Amino acid sequence: MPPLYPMKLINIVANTTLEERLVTIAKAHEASGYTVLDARGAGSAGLQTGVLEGESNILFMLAVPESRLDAVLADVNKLMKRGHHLAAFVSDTKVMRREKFDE
Amino acid sequence: MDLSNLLIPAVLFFALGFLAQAVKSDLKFPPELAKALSIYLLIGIGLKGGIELAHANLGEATQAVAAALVLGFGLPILAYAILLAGRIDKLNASAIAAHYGSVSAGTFLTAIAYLSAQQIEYETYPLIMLAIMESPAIIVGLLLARFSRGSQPQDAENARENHMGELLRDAFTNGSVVLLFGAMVVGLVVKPSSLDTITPFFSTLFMGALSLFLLEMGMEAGKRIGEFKRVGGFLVVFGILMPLIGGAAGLLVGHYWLGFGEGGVLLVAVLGASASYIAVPPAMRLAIPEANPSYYLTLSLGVTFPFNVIIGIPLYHALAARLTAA
Repeated sequence: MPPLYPMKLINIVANTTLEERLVTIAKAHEASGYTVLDARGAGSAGLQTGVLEGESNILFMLAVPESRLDAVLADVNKLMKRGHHLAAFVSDTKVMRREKFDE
Repeated sequence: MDLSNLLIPAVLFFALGFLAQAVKSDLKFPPELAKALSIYLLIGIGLKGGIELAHANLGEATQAVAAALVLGFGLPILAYAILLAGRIDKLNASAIAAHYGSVSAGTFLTAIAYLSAQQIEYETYPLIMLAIMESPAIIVGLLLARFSRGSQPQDAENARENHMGELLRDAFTNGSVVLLFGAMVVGLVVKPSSLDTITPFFSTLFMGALSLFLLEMGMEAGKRIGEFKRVGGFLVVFGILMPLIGGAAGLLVGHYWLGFGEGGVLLVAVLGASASYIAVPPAMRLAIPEANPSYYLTLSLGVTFPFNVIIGIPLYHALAARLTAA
């Protein structure tokens, strides 16, 4: 089996209007990339059917080395403190090519 | 008020969507289809407005623009006062008020379908008013929110987001405004012979696409019934009361100020009565994140939109007919 390297996977569920803000955070912390998926669901902001822009969510995925995790989460926390409805999930993950995530 | 006038495809497809949701049908729309249809409808109505604008009288058009601005800036302030009287917190009141000063193109187009089915003529200035009225309420909502936050300390990012220049840019560059005005300019400057090539797509098919859009919006409205409990009795009542107030304001403006006929007065009433559910929610999401989206979306989409389509339009029409006959 090829070697695997530990990383932190941050999954953020937020309204589509926040995508630009999340990309800015990812770039500010020199993440080498990110992935955005359309998402539906329900939560504190009510039903998110994904049909109209005001009720469409994204799942924003970002993998960073543990050393950058706190800084990224601090910026995400600023968005939450401003009142934005978003949920962040952090989990341990492993990646096959460390250099792709830890430039 | 003759309810048989409601037997037009647009309204019936809306009701079908609502019913499908109520009986828990497994009917589903691809989410991107509603977004695509709303782009198509905004371009179609913008083109129509632009073509008509070419024959417009500058004085009358200016009056219509002024009336749109008065309604667009005035109605959200009125809505805000009513919401505060109902003890809704200031930030939620600001966000909800912005929705009620802005307009719903879906409701407006349903009113046009309603008039067309009865072969009632209407002035075309309300088409310009529709485009104008998308933005002022967003600005009022943002100013009310800024006022509500008062002297709360702001970090640099917060200050940037609430900078007046940014707020105005957001209000005037939102997708619906760009599409409506852009298509209007295209309709205005393109030669009639060139427009012939796109007429089958944007005109002949228009009412069919509107029916499809309203079927989907009926389903969306139906999904919101489950959220009524969350928003509470006062707000649900507000969702019915506010369109009546806005509709009355529109009737008065359309008749006494603009001097429109029966059809035109109905359209101005619908502009006053309708609440946005496409352009304003994303703007409020960014500018007033503290407000609960469940409140404003449930109200505009789940209460006011169905109320206007089923009850409001024939009611405003009956009143417009009475006013203009007098």
